[in-house]
Formats: sequence, C-alpha cells, structure tokens
Amino acid sequence: MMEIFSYPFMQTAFIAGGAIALVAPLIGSFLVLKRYALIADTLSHVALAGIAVALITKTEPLYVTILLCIGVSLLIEFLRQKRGLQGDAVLAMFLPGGLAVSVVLLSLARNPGAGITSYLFGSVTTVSLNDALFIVALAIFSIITIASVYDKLLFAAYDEETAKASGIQTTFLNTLLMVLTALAVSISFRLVGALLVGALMVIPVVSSELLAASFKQTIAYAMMFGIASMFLGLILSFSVNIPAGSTVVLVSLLFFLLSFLLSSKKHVILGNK
Amino acid sequence: MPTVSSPCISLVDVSFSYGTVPILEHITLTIQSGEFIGIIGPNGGGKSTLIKCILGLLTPDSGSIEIFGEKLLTQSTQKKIGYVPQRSESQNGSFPFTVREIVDMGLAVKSSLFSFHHHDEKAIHKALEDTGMETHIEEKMSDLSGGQKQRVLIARALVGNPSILILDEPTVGVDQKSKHDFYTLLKSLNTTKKITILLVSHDTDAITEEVSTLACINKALTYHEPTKSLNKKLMMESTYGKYTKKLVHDH
Repeated sequence: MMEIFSYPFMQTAFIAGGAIALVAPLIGSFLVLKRYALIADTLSHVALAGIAVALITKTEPLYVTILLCIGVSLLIEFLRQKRGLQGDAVLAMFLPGGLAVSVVLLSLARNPGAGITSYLFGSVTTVSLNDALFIVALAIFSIITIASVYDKLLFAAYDEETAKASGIQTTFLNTLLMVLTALAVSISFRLVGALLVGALMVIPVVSSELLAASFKQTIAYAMMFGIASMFLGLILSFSVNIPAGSTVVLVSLLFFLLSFLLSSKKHVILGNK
Repeated sequence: MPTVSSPCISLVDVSFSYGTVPILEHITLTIQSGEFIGIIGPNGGGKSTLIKCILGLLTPDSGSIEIFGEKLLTQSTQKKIGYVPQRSESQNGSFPFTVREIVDMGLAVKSSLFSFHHHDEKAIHKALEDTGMETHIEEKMSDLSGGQKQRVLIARALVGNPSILILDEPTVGVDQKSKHDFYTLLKSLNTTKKITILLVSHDTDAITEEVSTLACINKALTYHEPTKSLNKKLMMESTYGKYTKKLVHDH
C-alpha cells in the first residue's frame, strides 16, 4: 500500500491533486450558489479546444488552455452582462462549440498525438513536477484571492441585485470568479481530464450542501470531500490500474450518495424538510 | 412622528423606457428625511423600476435623481441606503445559510475590495435585536417562515446603519399576522431610529393605513399626499381609474 508514495509520478499526482481538490470545490461553492455550475463543464470543453491547438502547434497545453479559457470566460461574461443574453443559453452555446472546435482541429491534424485520451479522461503520468508546482502556485493564488474578497463575492453570488445596489462591484467580482474558474479548469484537466473536471467543482459542493448548517461549513465540507475523493481516487486508480480522473469522479459520487443517506436519516430523525 | 426636514431623495422629470415601451414618464417627486412613504400602483405601473432608478440599478433616459443632494450615486451615498428586495428566484434559498451569515453580508460594503472582511458581531446582534430576530441568529434561513426571512433581510439592510430604507414588495407571500407585525416594525424603525422609509407595494388597503405619505405611480406620478389628508376616491381614480372600470365591466 505504502509503495504508492515511493513512485515520483504518484508523489507529483498527490501534490497537484491535493491543490486541485482544495481549489475546485472552493470556487464551485460560489458557482453552485449562483446556479452557474455549468460554467465549469463549458470551460472544460473549451479547454479541449485549447489542448487541440497546443497539440497541433506543439506548444504547452497548460498555457494555451489557460489563455483560451480565460478569454472565453470573459466573452461569456460580456455576452451575459453587457448584451443581456441568458447565462444558461450562453453556456449551452459554448459547451458544444468548444467540443466541435477541438474535434475539427484534431481531425485536421495528421498526428495529433496519442495522448489525447489522457487529456480527455485524466492521467497521473502526464503531470510533471514543474506542472505540479505551477498548479500549487495557481491554487494558492486563487485561494488567497477568494479569501480577500470573500464577503463581497458571497453577497454578489447570493443576491447580485442587492449587492450592486449596496455599492459592491458585482461586475468585477463576476468576472473575477469566471477567471478563477478558467484557471481551476486549466490546472485540473491533465490530472482529472477535461471531460471530468466540472464534476470536481460541483459534486463535492452538492454533497456538502446536504449536510452543512452554514455556507462556511459548506465550503469546509466540500474541500474535505474534494481531498478525500482525490486521494482515494488516486490510490484506487493506481491499485486497480484504471484512469485517475474517472476514479476520482466515481469516488466523489459515492461521497454524494453517503451524504444523501446521512441527510435523509437526519431529516427523518429531526423531522425537518 | 419623526421630524421631517431636508429632502433626502429628489427626482426631477425622470423618464425611463425599456426599448420603445415607456415605463416612467416625467416623474418629479421629493422624499423628505424622516418620511415613511408608500409607493403604490398597478402591476407594470413602474414602481419597481422607479426604485431601481433611485438605487442606481437602472439609468433614467432623462431627468435627474439626487440622493442627499448628490447627483451621482457614489459608494458613500449607497452606504446610506439599505435595500430589501422582493424575495426572488435570484436568491438560492436551498443553500444552507445561517441568519448571521445573511446579516453579515450587509457589512461587506464597509471594507474595500481586496481587504479581508471585518466581522462586526456587535452590529449583527444590534440589527437582529432591532428586528426581533436575535434569538434566531444560529438558525438556517431555510428553516424560517416568510415573515421571519423578511425581518432577516431588513436586519441585513440595517446592519450598515443606513439613513434610508427602501423595500420592494416586502410582504408578498407573508401571512396576515406577520404583515401586521412587519408594518409595526417599520413604523418603529421610522419613529425611533429616524430612518426614512420608502415602501413599494401593491397592497393598497394596508399601505394607506401604515405610511405617513402616499405616492401613486402609473407610469406618471398620479397622486402624492400625506395620508392624513388622503382622498381615497381621487387616489383610486387617478391611479387605477381605467383598470377598475375594466374589472367592473368584465365581471
């Protein structure tokens, strides 16, 4: 069992995975609160297009994906806020759009590389130590940024109109949240997989929402569920030799089931809603 | 009764339209400090649009709005206004929030953007005490009744110590007993704390009994008088005239 920690690639996976498992549910808590959870899936499909561009141009996928995801997240916010388009409709437009661009680009490329599957579904071996350190740095940056605007971001996510009327800079905060989401998606796709990263931002939050008594508790439980899903998923993935991202998502779904059963039991005992 | 003194909100010839559909037409209205003013009118008459213009959420097509003599709504004037919205779908009611967390949101504007939040427990307790909700501080919002939730939202508006309280249809979905308690609370805030209150409602009967001044909006300002000299017939005819006729005709 302990031999898993002796492999350098697994050590790297645990470092990167730990950082992702903390930051993804943290950002996801605000997205779920805003009923904007689909943004994570939308940006993960945009990330696929970034990966396709990087594979064709032989550039670093992480950096290309970060730039593309931030660009698209700003475009989505522009269309939603300035042009008054419905948020869910804009997301539903970019989600298949990202997938379509990536499929077209990959089909045009003669040899896009054999590793495309690992980008789609995640792989522990594709994360280098430098990648892991970059992921940790971005995760720390995201956590400190959210902590410094926490109260304003919370107000804007819970009741945007009143927050705006009170003098909170809601447009800036919405844009900031989109950029942080884009960063989180970009740093996660290698380990968890572009198609599965959205789940890591949403499932731990929904699981914790069922048990928590406050928003702060929701964030704390979501981060704990995130870490537990990530580490258990990585261990299982290594032990049974199955893809890391899918295993992490399945473990997080098991935690959701557990939370659901626990919350149902609590409601039956207390007679709550 | 509080002492009515200088104007705190002044609207001069304010017009607003959504595209080509006029919503507000040439509204001129002055609200004095210490007033408890009720704004009523038919659905779609422009009540909520008017307060969104006052709050700076919408920009009028023409005319001017002054808050405490300032033409542009700045963060310092915004801090003087407490806003209680209509309970809406924009608030995710299923999410677990304690009463303390909701009221604490009202303090967010006190600190600058990238500065860690200064939690003021004393101010939160005071605001909840003023609204009679102090004993519920640890409870989840989702476990409260409609009337209690509205009181918590008033506490959130009060925690920043505003001079003006603006409420948009606050009693929608609230039972009769809670409505009565709610108006008593507003009167108390108006008289004891000298807070200017602007209450938007479609509940004509209740509001004419509770407020000190009544303004009626149906695109234009159709009536504006103290309630002690209320001419209900004139008010109803000038504001709901055509609509009332139609109802009678249809039935």
